[in-house]
Amino acid sequence: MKITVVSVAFFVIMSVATVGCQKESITEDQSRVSTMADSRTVGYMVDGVFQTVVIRGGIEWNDFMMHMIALAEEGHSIRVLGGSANTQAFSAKEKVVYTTKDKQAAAEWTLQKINEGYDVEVTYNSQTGEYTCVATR
Amino acid sequence: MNWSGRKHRVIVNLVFAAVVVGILVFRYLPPTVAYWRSSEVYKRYCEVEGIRASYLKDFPLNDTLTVGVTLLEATTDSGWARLQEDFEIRVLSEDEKKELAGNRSVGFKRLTTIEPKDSTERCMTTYSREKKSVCVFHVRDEAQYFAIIMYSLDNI
Repeated sequence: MKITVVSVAFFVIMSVATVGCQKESITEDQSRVSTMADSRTVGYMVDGVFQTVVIRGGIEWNDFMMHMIALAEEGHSIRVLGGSANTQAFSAKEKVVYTTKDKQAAAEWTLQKINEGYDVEVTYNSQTGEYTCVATR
Repeated sequence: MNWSGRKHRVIVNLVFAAVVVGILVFRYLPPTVAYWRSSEVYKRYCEVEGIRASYLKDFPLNDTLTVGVTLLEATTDSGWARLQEDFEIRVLSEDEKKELAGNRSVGFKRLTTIEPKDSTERCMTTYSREKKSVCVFHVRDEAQYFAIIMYSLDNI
């Protein structure tokens, strides 16, 4: 009986500890909101979808953060930005574009840019037969 | 014909069929490897909800070159958001999305954030926004980089 009670207690403790450790923490290292005094446009992403909200004071900020926390606890991916949040926050600082109908030329240009430290995205327009290569970093 | 003779013939036929099926399965199954021989990327994502991971040891890029590749496919929006964040895939602006609408695209990144298996391995990543997938190629020589790009453009 004693062994059974101890075993059950141990199992309960381990289950609670395991569930507790599995909870994901909210990553807020990307947040760039500086003050809460003024009305601010805050950019945020839920599951990769970018949205904005205007927050006018401490109470609204508190409500917004509670909403973000609730979404995170439901398992959604949350990222919060602030300041002059707009889609430019996600734009590359440097961009080079190359367009060609020659696949080999597109591949060579892509490899060259990758070796220079760029990320390259190639889009193929089936109507024109053109490869548009956009290198960003 | 007596029963034992028929039974003997049935067993022989079954064994023969099993051997043929076994040869066909061994010959045509993709060369997947056991978990303990797969990539670190595969191990990282194989049990992540919303992401389907697979690893191929000798994926053929062309007639002469093969490469190890880990394929990560998002099965949910949150899975794709996780891949975008982990692999630093740039989120497009609304204008860029409109420009891309209707066209197929593939992105290329030479990542430094993935731990290589040894000093000879480098990782090159391609991604598809339409398919919500990421391929991590485990590269061992420069010739494979160009082959990966050509293969990706062939299958854009």
